[in-house]
Amino acid sequence: MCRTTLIVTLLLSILTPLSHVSAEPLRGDKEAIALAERMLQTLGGKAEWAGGRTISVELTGYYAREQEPWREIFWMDLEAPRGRFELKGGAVDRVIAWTTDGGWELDGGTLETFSSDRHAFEIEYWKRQPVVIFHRLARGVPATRVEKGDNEFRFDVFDAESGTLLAQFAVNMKGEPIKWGSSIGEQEFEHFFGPLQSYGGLHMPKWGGSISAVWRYEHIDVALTTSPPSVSFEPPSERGTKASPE
Amino acid sequence: MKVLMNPFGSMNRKQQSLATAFALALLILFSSVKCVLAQEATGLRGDPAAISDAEAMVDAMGGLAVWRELRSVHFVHEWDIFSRPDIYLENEILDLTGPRSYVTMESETYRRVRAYSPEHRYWNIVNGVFSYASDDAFEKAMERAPYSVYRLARAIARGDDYYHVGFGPMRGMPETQALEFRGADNEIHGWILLNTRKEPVVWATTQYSYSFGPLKQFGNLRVPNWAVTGGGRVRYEMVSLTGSNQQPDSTLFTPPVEFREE
Repeated sequence: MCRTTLIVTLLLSILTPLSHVSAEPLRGDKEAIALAERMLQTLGGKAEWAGGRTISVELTGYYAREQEPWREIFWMDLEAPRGRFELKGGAVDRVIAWTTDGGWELDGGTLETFSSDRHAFEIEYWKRQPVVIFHRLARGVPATRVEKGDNEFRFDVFDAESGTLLAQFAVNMKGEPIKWGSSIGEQEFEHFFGPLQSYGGLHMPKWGGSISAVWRYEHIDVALTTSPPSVSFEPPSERGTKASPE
Repeated sequence: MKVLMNPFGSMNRKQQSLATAFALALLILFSSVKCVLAQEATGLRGDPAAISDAEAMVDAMGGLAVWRELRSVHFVHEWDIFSRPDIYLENEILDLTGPRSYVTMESETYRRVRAYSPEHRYWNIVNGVFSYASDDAFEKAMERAPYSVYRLARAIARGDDYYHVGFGPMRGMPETQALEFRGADNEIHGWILLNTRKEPVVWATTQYSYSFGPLKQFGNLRVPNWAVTGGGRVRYEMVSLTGSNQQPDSTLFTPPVEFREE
């Protein structure tokens, strides 16, 4: 009995990490699948993105309406909708965090809980985030369909179950992403990406911004880890000694 | 000897004081007239608030005093165009005193030289093959050249009265308020959208629109570190930039002798 338990435990310990990175084939037309896979290759490879669970990004952000640039660090879970953002610089001193249960923003010492609309927006935006889609394309889970866009450099990414269009990517001849577009309701988003740079095993754009010129950023560091986020998503007043949620 | 050294000669103290006061008054009057004349002779035309913003932009880009003296800039860009397999290095020498530009573009698989000027029109040498650009390409180059962000910066610093500056929506961005630049024909040929720090974030002519990255210091000049156009399909990073108070060598704009038409 003891021996059986040991074997089961060993099998589980081997299978657990494998199941974590297990990939389902992408659905969709061949050309779009080829574009998506080539894009992943330029970003560091399918295995790297499939195996990663948490991305942490440090950047310098420039908002056209802010007097000073700010330093931003964010952590995002690529498998469950939750993220934490810390922004500091000039007049900006802000922490934002959210999970599927809700979210909050601490702006200059004032804590505000997300409205249901804001929370719903953040959850929807997370599904469309380029890094979340890179992970999803690499795993093919949840079921994902890709279709060729209106020219040979573009493809669209859909949730295969609901049919929702999540994002549109444009790549260059080298397969690198140069543009991302998405929408939530009436709101449309379009971002451009700069040339790729290595951050460990990942290749990510050195810089980017919104086509509308409202904001720009330059990456300082990007890291992808295989473990869940270790940061807290709890608001400051409730943090106390509670352990960070898994 | 003492008298010769004293400009007021044998005047008494009261006379000397009066003469000094008169000379000072003349000096102040002369200086004021000279200053007014200078402002009338040169000065951007247009909305004073827009002119003030334009000057603040040049201050952010390194200062009016530096840009005023520039006659040429030489920058090196690394260009990445979505439909090309290669990245190429571009050297551009821009004559800021007139619509003249000389460019070399080089990669492992590609070499192009191109130049335009009113004197020698627009010519290209692509991988060793010489050609003149079309009349349309030449005319477009002449139309947009005075509205290059670098030529505008110099013109603003010099108070060049060729230009009229006002506020209006950025081309293609109706919700914004940008600087609009008109020329002698009173038509808008250039736009610059500034951020709160009065740094240029979008620049457009009637032909192109570029979104700029943050400013970076190159010597005494601060210019956008990178830029994208065509919705992100074309981008460059600034490798280096040097300014000069000398005009570029005029032979740069002349087709090489072996290609010259007799």
